[in-house]
Amino acid sequence: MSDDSLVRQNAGRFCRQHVEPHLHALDHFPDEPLPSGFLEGIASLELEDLDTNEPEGLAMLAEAVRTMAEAAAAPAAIVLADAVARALPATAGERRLGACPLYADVARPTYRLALRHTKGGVEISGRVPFVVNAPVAAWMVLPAADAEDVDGTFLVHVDADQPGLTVGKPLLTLGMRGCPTADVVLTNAVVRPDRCTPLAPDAFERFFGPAAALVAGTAGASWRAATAYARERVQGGRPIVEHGEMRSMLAEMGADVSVCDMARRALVARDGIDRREAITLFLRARQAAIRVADLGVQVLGGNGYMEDYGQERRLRDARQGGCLLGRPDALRMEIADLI
Amino acid sequence: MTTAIEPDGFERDYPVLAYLSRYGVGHVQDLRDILEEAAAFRRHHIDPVALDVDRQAMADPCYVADGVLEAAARQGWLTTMIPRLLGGRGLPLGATMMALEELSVGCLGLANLIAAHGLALCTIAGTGDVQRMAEVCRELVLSSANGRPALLSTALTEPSAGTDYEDEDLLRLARLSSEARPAPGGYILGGRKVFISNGSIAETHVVIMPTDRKRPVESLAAFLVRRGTPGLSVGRVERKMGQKACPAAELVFEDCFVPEDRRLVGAPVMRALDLALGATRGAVGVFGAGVARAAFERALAYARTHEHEGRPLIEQQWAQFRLTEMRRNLMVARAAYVEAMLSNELFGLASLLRPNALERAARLLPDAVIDRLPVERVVGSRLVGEAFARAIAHMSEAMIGVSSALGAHGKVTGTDMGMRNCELALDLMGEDGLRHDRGVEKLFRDARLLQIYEGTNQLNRMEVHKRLIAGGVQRV
Repeated sequence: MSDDSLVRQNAGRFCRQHVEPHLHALDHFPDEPLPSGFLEGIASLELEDLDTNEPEGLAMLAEAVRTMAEAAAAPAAIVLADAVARALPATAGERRLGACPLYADVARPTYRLALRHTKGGVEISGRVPFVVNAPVAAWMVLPAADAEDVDGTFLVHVDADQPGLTVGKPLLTLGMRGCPTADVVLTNAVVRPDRCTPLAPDAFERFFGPAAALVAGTAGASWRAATAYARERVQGGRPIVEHGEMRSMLAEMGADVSVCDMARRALVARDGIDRREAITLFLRARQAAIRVADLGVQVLGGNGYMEDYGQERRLRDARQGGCLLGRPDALRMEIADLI
Repeated sequence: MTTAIEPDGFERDYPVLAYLSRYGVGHVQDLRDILEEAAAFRRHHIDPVALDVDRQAMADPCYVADGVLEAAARQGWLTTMIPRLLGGRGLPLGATMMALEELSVGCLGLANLIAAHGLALCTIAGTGDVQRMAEVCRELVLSSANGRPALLSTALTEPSAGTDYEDEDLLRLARLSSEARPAPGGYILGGRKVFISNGSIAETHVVIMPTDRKRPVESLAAFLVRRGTPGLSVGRVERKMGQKACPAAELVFEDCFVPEDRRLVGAPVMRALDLALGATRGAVGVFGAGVARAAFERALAYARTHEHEGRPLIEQQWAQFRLTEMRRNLMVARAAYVEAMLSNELFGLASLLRPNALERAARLLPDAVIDRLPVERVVGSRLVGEAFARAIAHMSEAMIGVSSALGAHGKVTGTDMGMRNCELALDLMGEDGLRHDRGVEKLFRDARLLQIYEGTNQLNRMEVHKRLIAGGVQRV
């Protein structure tokens, strides 16, 4: 059995045990607690051992993320945020769960902490919103700017019990609700200088692949749900799959699922792909995934809007997944800059 | 030579009405007044609670914002279209629609909680059964004055037939599970109705069922069934993606006996639905315009207060273009619903309900005087009933076709524009748009239902094609 298959098998087992029976609770976090054993189940997958600098490690991460996202995107986002956080050399050895602002373009973050060198170390203050995994992580990576050199961005590695660190209440979000996310505030927190790493502009580029895998997972699940429903549901005396407009919608969905998968494969393989192409492919994949999920809701009609059928959750997850690794509008402008 | 007049805010936002006002149409001032009143209601009663209500209903789908409903009822927002002679506000359809846009900017779910009974009222009016119309209107007016409105719901959709009920050709072939079997002295209703807006809290349900499942179009009937009628129970209250402030419930009919006099009489029910949906689909387009505006206003506020790469978003050309597109989408949605509204006032159901001179005079009377008038007996009389039924019967297919098609067009356009603006706002705001406390993700969740209820947008496109394209545009 290949490594990819093993990862897929383990992730699938995890979903059957800890995700599928608990979709309601996961989707009602933080108003309901996370299912017991959920986070432990993620830890048991031991994905932290994957070296995402290597093609094999990145491919396995993408496969795990995609498999999970087919069941629900929340655990996939937890795994992805953890992998992004441990991408720095300074955090590579961490065994515990990590957190990071997964929706920020870390190379050009909108929100940065202010960093100041003092005799006792590096003093950090400020607020970073929407830090994924922050309420449950043991440590986190946060973007900061040197007060004397605002053009330089650093990534600061802080422990969850760092004095001066406050993690806000878990946020209620559009999608991926079972992925604990919170605002983080640091007030005159002092860390060792080796905890601040100057940011290489391409440090996180490789994660567009796993991010595309996440949205591809939601798209695949939407596609399967919609085609199954269209075969069953009867309107005007015949299955809706036989209605002309429905066939057109399903064809559109099928094409978009292919777009997602092609983008995912190209991004994970990273064969000669530069940052501009990576952003372009991810934006196309996210657009396609959102469209598939949206059409899925429409195919299911009133049922698509109800929690029971899961399609409205897939749409929310796809929409939120579409904001990973940077604001879509900001990423579009970055493509222009790179051209 | 004419002198150009600088448009004020109202004229900029509603050019069609500004045009009309300059040519002497007198009710434009009423529209301005009603808009201001609706905006004040939204600011005081909807904006401050919308997010909290959404979150409470997320935990408990049966939750109802009683305070908002009570305030809306006392201030007459549930009786805007009910004739003044029956104690309502007697406003034209257009005024009601514009007020609805204002309310829906604050919260689509709460706006629907306040307005969903409109479909029931329109369905009753569409049958021409003025006696029942007068009865339910008076009950709604009196109960609203007490702050505990006797809401109405419309029970149409079934588990295996939703869209089918809204198209004659589909209905003939539909797999219906409900039926109202004739029985001595009335009918025995059986079956399930689902996704009924306000179904769990309505006092009266307008229930649509065939009396013979084999001839669903010809035998389609409408019944007024009160809450608590033996054999009627509320099933599950749905957990929805959005519009959580307006509960959607299942109604279960098990050998539910309804006496003959609770069946609406007059025009065929299929025609009544046609007339009713022609009016209410335009109102869903209004909701679309409302959410398009809400998304635009939030994105604009965000762009003014946030930076990207060291410069305010609002100063960056690409962001300015996004905002301009959102503003355009709002205007497109408005234009479509104004067309729907005007065509309905000219040719559709609203043309029958348009305030006449007597009705306008009644507006000058205080509630206490109206309450003492024997209007229910007069309006509900056989004479008036026959006149109303004649008026419905004389409506040409072309008239109904145009108003129905433009209602459908307003619905499709408004709701698609509403969704588009939510998407644009989310893209602009990134992670800030994804959090509940910012309100934009709620707009997205709420707006998505608009493309589904009152007939999916696919069905409404079919309606436009059937009425306006397939047979060539007919003059009315």
